[in-house]
Amino acid sequence: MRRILALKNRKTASGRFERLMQAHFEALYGAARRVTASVSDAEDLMQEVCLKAYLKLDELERIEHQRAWLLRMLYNLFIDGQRRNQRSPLALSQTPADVELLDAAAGRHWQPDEQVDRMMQLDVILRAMKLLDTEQCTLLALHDIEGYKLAELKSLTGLPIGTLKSQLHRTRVKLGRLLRRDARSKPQLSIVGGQK
Amino acid sequence: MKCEDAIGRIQAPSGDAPKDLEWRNAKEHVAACDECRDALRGAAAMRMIRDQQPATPPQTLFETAMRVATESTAPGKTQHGFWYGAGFGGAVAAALLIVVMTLGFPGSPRIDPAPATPELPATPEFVIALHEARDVNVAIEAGHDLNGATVSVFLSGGVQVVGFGDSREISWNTDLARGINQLTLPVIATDMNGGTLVVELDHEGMRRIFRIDLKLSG
Repeated sequence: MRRILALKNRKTASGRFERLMQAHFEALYGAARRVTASVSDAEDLMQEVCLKAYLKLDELERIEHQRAWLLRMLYNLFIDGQRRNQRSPLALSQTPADVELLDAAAGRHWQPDEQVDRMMQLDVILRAMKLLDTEQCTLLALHDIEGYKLAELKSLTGLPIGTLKSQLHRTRVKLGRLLRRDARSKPQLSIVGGQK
Repeated sequence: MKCEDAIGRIQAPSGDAPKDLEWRNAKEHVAACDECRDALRGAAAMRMIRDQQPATPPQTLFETAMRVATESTAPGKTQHGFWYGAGFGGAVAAALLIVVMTLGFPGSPRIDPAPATPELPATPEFVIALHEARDVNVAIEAGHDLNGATVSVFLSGGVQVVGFGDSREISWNTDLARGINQLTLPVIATDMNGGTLVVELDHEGMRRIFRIDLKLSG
């Protein structure tokens, strides 16, 4: 009897979860595609978000800004996942084809040399993001990429607007500094794509 | 003028409004301030990510993601049995297998010193293709941060991990964060017989082993 009840509860929970996720799935996938280099990486990230979100269904249902909460989870997983991939020797075996998919899916008709530059820049930016503090980078992504206003971030994090403002500024500075260093330490990047 | 204010003034949409004294001051401040230039570069980088074309999820993704999530576990559950969620695959990407290994939860069994290899549960199968890389994804769920865990991958038969040639054993130390950690193994078949892939996770006397049979399509 207990098992039947457990199974019934599980079915109800899965129905609730599906209904809830339906409203946010496309937005989440859009974010996943923006920060991953391939369709399959985005799908893996989405799978991870869904697994984790389902475990926290009860908490998720009580939250006012569910999409922001889910996006926050997605960016946290992306940044932490990036860090782990960096430490694993298997990351070295990623194929260049993954990167090529990025702009193919974006559907823009850039000139070939422009495309290479853009892909490399995106790759450098995404690599730089993983060096930032996870939570601060996530907040920056929610604000600058996903368009959340300071007031919404305040209600999501409980931090005062002034604190959020200076955190966002400091994180942008760190990111900009990392990108400047990257450009200095890897001049070959501009040569590879620089058929101008 | 504070850096944040200077940047805010420069980036604010001005429309047709004339560029006033405040704007010129902000411009001068930014021109002479390294921090502001870094912040503007950071902001431009985020805009570049934002401005990519929106993407629509593949039709089957929602269904599959929901099925995998809801069949693997239950809401509010923080502790899991040894294995769960094994054997999903094929529908999400060209090839995807999510296997969840758990480690570091209270009550996790420690290595039994007598038998070298703990008993394995039913082995899931994964379809691969000859000379075509397919990603095998293993989700490792850690109950808490596990620093210095050892991940080992053992291969037998006609399969390889792309980038590692004919290596039969790949092993490295890594830190696992609390929560779900993903390991992606790009696997390729080198003959028609397929093979076996074993992932072993070891941390301070706790060990998890997962075996996946790799079969060839057709």
